[in-house]
Amino acid sequence: MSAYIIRRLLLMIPTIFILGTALFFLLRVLPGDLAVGMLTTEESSATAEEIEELRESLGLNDHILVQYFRWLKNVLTGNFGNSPLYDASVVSILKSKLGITLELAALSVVISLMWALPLGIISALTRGSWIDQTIRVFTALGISLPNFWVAIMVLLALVAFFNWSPPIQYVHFLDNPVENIKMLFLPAMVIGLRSSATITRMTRSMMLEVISQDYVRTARAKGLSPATVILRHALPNASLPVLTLAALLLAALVDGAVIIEVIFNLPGLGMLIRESITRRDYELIQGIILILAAFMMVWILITDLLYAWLDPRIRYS
Amino acid sequence: MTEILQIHNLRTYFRGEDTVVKAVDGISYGIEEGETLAIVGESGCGKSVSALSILGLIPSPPGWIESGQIIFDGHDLLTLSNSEIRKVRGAKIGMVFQEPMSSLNPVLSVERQMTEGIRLHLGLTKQQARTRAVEMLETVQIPDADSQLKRHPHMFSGGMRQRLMIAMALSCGPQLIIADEPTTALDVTVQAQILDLMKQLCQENNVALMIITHNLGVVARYADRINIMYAGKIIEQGTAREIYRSPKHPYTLGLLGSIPRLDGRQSDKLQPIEGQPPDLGDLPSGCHFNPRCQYAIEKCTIEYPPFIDLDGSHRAACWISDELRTGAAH
Amino acid sequence: MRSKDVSMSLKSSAGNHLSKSRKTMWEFSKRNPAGAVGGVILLALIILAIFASLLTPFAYDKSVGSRLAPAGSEARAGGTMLFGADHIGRDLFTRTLHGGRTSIYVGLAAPLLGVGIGLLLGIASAYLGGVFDLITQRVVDALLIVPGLVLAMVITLSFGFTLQIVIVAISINMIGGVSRVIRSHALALRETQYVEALRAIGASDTRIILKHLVPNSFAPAIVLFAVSIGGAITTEASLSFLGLGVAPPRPSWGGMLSTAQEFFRSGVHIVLVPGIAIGVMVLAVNLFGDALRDVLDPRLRGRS
Repeated sequence: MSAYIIRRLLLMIPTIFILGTALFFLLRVLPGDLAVGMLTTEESSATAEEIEELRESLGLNDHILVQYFRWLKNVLTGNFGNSPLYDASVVSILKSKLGITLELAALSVVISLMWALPLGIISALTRGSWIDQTIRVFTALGISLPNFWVAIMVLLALVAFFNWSPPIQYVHFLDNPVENIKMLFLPAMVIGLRSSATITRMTRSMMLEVISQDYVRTARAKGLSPATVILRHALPNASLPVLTLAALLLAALVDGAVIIEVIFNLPGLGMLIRESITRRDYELIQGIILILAAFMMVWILITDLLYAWLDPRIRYS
Repeated sequence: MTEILQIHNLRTYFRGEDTVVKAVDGISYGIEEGETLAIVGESGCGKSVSALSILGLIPSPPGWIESGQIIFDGHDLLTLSNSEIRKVRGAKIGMVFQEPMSSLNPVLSVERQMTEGIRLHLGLTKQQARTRAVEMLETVQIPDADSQLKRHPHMFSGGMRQRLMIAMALSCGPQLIIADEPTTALDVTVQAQILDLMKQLCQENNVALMIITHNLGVVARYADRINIMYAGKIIEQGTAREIYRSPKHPYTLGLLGSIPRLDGRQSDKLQPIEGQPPDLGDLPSGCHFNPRCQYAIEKCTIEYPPFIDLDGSHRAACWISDELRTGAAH
Repeated sequence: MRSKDVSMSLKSSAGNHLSKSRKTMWEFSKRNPAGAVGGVILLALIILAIFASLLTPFAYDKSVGSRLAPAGSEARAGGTMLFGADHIGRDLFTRTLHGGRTSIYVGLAAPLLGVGIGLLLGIASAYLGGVFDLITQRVVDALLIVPGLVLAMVITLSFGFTLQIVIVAISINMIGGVSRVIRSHALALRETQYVEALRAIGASDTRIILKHLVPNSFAPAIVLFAVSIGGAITTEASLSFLGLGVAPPRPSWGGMLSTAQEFFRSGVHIVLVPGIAIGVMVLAVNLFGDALRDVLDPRLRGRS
C-alpha cells in the first residue's frame, strides 16, 4: 500500500515538472515586454531608462534559459515569485483569496449532494414516470445551459422581482454567518449546477443497474423494508462510482469560480485567476496554475485511495 | 401430516414485446410440514417464477400474478399487503438463491447481512443477534465462525457463500425454505455437500424444503415428493419412488433417459429429448409437449390433457399415461 | 440461441445496403426519440449556420436599426429585425446566426482535433508501451490537472485570439481524457484472444495496429467525439464571455452575452437570445450524443 502511494507521488514529479516548464515557455512566447506592460498604465508611460532599469531588476535581459533555471531554482525552494500587479508574493496573494473560493466550493458540494443524490435515486425508482421524465429534463438543462447565463438570469430576476442589489462588501463567515451564507448561496448553487446534474444522472443509471442485482433481491427476500433495501443495500453500491468523478468535479468548480465570482462580485480565487490572465501578470498566472495543479494531483490521489478504502473488494485484497 | 403451503391454480404472466408470456399457467400443489419437495424442469419452464411468486418477488413490470391462491399459515399470501408479506419473508419462509457469487451484497459485512434479518424478525439486540449469527455459521459448518463475521462476501468461495445463504435463510426459524437451483452454480464436488447440509438441517429443525432444479438426478437422494414442470404447467406429480420407478409422462421418461446411471450398462446410450422447449409466448395447441413427444396421438394436438390419477399420490397430465402404465405404448 | 433469433439475425445481415442505413436511422429514432429530436435540431442549426448570410438581409457588424429595439421592430432601411437590435443597433438575429457559425465551427472542429490526436496517442501509447508510454502519460497527466477553461485562457492569451487558436486551445484539454480512454481500451484489446491469434499467425505489429486496433477503437472514439461537442461549445462561449475568445467583430454568443450584461435594463432580449441559443444547441448535441453512446457502447453509460 505505501509502496503504491510512494510510486504515485514519484510519478507526480515529472508531471509537475513538465507542466511548469511548459507554462514558463508558453507565457514567454507572446511578443511584448513585461516591463513595458507593467510601467505603461492608463495614466502615464515610462521613459526608456525606466523601462531598462526595470528589465535589469527583473532579470529580463538574461538569456531565456538563465531565466528558466533561475525560476526553477526558486520554485524548488518554495518561492513562486512576486506578482507585479499586487506587489506581493504569489503565495501570500493566493492565501488571502483562497478562503472565499473554498467556502464556495464547500457550499457547492453540500448543496449539490443534498439534492443531486436524492433526485437521482427518485428518478431511478420511478423510472419511466412523469417524475422521472421531469428530473431528466432538469438534468439535461443543467448540463446544457451555460452557467454564466444562469447566473445573469438569476441576478436579473433578483433585481427585477425582489429589488435586490449585489452586496458591495464581502462579509466573512466568522463575522456574520447568516449574511455570509446569503451572499454565497446562489453563486455556490450556480457554480455547482452542471456538476449536480452530472451526479444526478450518474446516480440514476447506477441505481438502475444496482436495483436489478441479485443481492438486492436477496435483501427483499429477507423481508427488509423498501427503505432499508434502497438505502442500506443499493445506495452504497450505486454511489461509490460517483467518487470517480471527483477530479472532474474539482476542475469544474475552479472553472465555474473563474466565471461566476465576477458576476456576483466575490473576490476569490476565480476572480484572481481571471484578473491575472486578463491583466497579464505572468508570474501570478504561472504560480497559481502550478500550485492548483499540484493540489489537483494530490486530490486525485486522495480520492483514488478513498475509493479503494471504501470498496471492501479492494480494501481487503 | 399437515400441509403448510398450498398453491391453487397459480398463474403468473409477463408482458413481452407484443405478447403475454405465460410463465406459470395454472399450477397447484402443496408441501407438507418437514418434507422435501423437488420441482424439476428445463430452463424456462416456470419453476423459478412459481417460487418467486410465493414471496411476491416477481419484478413488477413486466410481470404480474394473474390469478390463484397461495395459502400459508392460514392466509392467502397473494392478498397480503406489502408490510404483511414482509413479515413472512425471511421469518416464516426463507429463500436460498442460485448464484452465491452475486446474491450477497459486496459492500456489507457478513455480520451485517446475517444479523439484519435476525434483528428485524426476532427483535434481538445487536449482541444477541451476533451470537445467533455465530451459532448459525457453526451449524452450516463454517470454521472459525466468530472471526468470519467481520469479513466480506468476496473473501469466501462459492460453496462457503452458499452456506452463508443457507445460514441466513434458516436464522429466523422459518417453516419452509425455498432453494432455487442452489447447487447449479457450484462445483460438482461441492454440490453434494451443500445438498446434504440442507437436507440434514431441515430434517433436524422440521423445516420443509422446496428444491428447484433442472437436474432430476441431483434430487434423487433428497426429495420426498417431486413435481415435474414443463412450459408453465406441472405435468407429473408423485413421490420420489413413484417418479423414478415408474414415470408416466413421456417428458419425465425423457428426462430420466437422459441421465447417466451408475447402475446402467456402459453400452446404454443416453437418450436426449428431441427438439427445443417451446416459446412461452407462442405455445402449441393441445399438450405443450406434443411436438417433441414420440408417443403423441392426434388428441394430444387438440386438447390439453387433465391430470390422470395413477397409483397413490402419483398423477400425470397425459392422454396416454394409462398405456404407459400398462406398458402398451412401449 | 433460439432458432428464431438465429434466422432473424441472418435476415438482417442479408439486407440491402441503402435500405439498411435508412432502416437503422428509423430504428434509432424509435428507440431513442430524444436523441433523434436532438439530431434533427442539430442538423437544422448547422444548416442555419451554413446559410446564415443568405437568411438575413443585414450585415452582422453594422448598425441597421435603433439601439436596443425590441423584437420585431423595423430596421432603418426596411426589413424586420426578428430578434430586435443590440446596444449598437445591429440586428440581433443576424448576429445570432453568425455567432452560431462560430459555435458550430468550434464545436465540431475542436473535438475532431482533440479526439483525433487523442486516438492516435492512446493507441500508440498502448501498443508501443515502454518509455514512450511513460513519457506520454506524464504529459497527458500534466494536461489533465489544469482545469480546462483556465488552460484554454492561457493558450489564447499566449498565442492570440483567433478562431484557429481557440479551436486548438479547447482541443488540448480533450486530448488528455480521450487518450486515456482509448489507451485502456486498446490495452484491453491487446490482451484479447483475437489479437493473440493474429500474432500467432505472424501478423506484424504495424498491421495489427492499423488494421485491427484502430478500426476497433472507432466506436468509443465516435462516442467521445459526440459527447465532447457540448463541452466545446460551452467552453468557447465561456472564453468569449471573458473576452479571451475570438476577437470581435466576429460575433460569438458568449461575447454577446458579456456586453449584454450592461444594457439588460433596456432590453432583456439581448440577454435572453444568446443564452437560449447556447442552451438549445448544447442540449440538442447532448441528447444526440447520449443516444449515440447508448447505441454504440452501453458500457460507457454512467460515466460523465
